[in-house]
Amino acid sequence: MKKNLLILFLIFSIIFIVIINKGSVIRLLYTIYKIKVNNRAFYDAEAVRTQKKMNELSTELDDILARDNSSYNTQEIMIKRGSVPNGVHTNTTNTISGLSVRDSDYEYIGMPIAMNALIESIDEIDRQYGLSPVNFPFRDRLNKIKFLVNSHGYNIRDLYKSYSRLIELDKKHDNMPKTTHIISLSENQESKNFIIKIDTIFHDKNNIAYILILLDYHYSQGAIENIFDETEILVSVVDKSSLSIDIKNAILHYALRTVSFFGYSTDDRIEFLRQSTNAKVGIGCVHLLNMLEKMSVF
Amino acid sequence: MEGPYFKNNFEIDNRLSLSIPNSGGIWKINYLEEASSMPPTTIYIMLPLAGTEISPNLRSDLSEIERIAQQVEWNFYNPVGFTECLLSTFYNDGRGDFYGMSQPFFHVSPEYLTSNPRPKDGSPWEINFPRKHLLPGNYIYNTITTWYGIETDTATLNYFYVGNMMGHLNSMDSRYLEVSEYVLGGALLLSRTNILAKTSSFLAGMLVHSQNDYDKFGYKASKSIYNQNYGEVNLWMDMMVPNLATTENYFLVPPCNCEVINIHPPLFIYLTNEQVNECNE
Repeated sequence: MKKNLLILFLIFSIIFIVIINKGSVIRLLYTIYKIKVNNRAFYDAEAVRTQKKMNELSTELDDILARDNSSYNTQEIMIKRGSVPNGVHTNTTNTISGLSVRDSDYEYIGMPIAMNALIESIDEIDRQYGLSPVNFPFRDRLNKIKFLVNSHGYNIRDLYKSYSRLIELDKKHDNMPKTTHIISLSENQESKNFIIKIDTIFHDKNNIAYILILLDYHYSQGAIENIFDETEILVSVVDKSSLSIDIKNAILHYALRTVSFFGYSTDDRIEFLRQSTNAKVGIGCVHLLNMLEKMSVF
Repeated sequence: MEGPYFKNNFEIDNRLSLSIPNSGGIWKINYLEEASSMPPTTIYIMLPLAGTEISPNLRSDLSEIERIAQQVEWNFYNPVGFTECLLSTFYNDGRGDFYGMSQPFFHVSPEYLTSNPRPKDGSPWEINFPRKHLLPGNYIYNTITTWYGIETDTATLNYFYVGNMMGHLNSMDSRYLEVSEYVLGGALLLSRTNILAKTSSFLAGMLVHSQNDYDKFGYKASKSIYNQNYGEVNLWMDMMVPNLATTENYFLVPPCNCEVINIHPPLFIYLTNEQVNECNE
């Protein structure tokens, strides 16, 4: 009897919870359904691919066996399929020569481009399998900034080279005095006090160093809208400045890398960011600050 | 019966044996029952299969990666120590890199593979030896495993783990984004193989914030990474057939000196709160 009452109580509790939170429950059920439907389509397609691969290999084996009734191993089948140059076997020597070929094939060209390439390849997979795309709430804002950078005539593919070159140069030197002071403030002050002090240091709110620090500050607060706002301002200010193209490229790489990370943040990360703040501000733009200080730009 | 390295003992003891099963190949068996009016049955056996499906294991590891990311207190102003900490997550020195091969049977001793007769639960078909066994003299421990039904290289998966940790660190501190790019570039420079797929794997890991993200995004990342494999890994992968069986030999620490027949993920995810920061002292 007691057991039955307990079960009834549990059932009514669940119904009550569902009624109270009906929106979120329906959303949750819908999400689970979508994931299941998506996964099913994907797995079905992959099963077809696997089966096709097996059929292809089997057909090739049949061909080989039909031609000559002796035994052949996989290496020979691979050669026939054109996976390796005819007559070349995958021994250690060829592996080494293969590496040098691969090295020249690809050069790391920075996180924004690599991230964009990954997401575009996933878009392509979505189209290929008819899947729902992953939702990146700030993707449109990221695209707007990429468009802005392009419209000012910068080649996004050049940015990382300039950045890495300048960083390597800066690593050989100690931090400059003002930059050291800013790092010290960031380590010793709570984020709110830190930004108040930074505001008093920089009278010109269009100073590039100031905007870079502001970007890092918003980063530590998870203020994504502000990050995109400041980056839009930064792109225009940098473009109008008299800095060399190499330095402009380096700063734009830093900005684009930041907005790429947030532009491709999922709902879950954004939800997390909205509920969190960092007590201290991390200054990721130290090398750029050093560089700007050396040029007496701040 | 046709195919490489095939020893036919069927008429003597009802057994077919492959003398070098890990060398790979396709075997065709035409089976005709004596005194039967039925046509012969044709069976293909394709070896080697890739390691077993590993996606649920990765999903479980995500919470460990998040835990360890919350404990990281590496000193940004000690670049040598910091770099050492990060790069250690790529090496098999007790911190980084996958080790071994995923299999559908419970952990086994090294004798398992050589025992004769083979144990009852033994399955000679799922053997996917690390490359050192496929290519003599090339002593590498990574293997091809199955991730969401697709072949993948465990060395590439290591990048997913480090990227995922960096994603959690990045969330609120721009310095971690700076070092993420630095360490990715450094690791690729040292690795010098299959770098397109490894870059994508790292970044996919970075963008996955939760297990929910992994469910929505992981299988697409797996496919994207597969598409970007090239060179020797691609050749190697081409030989394999995906293995959808559940992985049963996934371990935190190898229970015995049997690295080739058990698998464990990059060990940095299981470090204690103190251990994770030791590298920076």
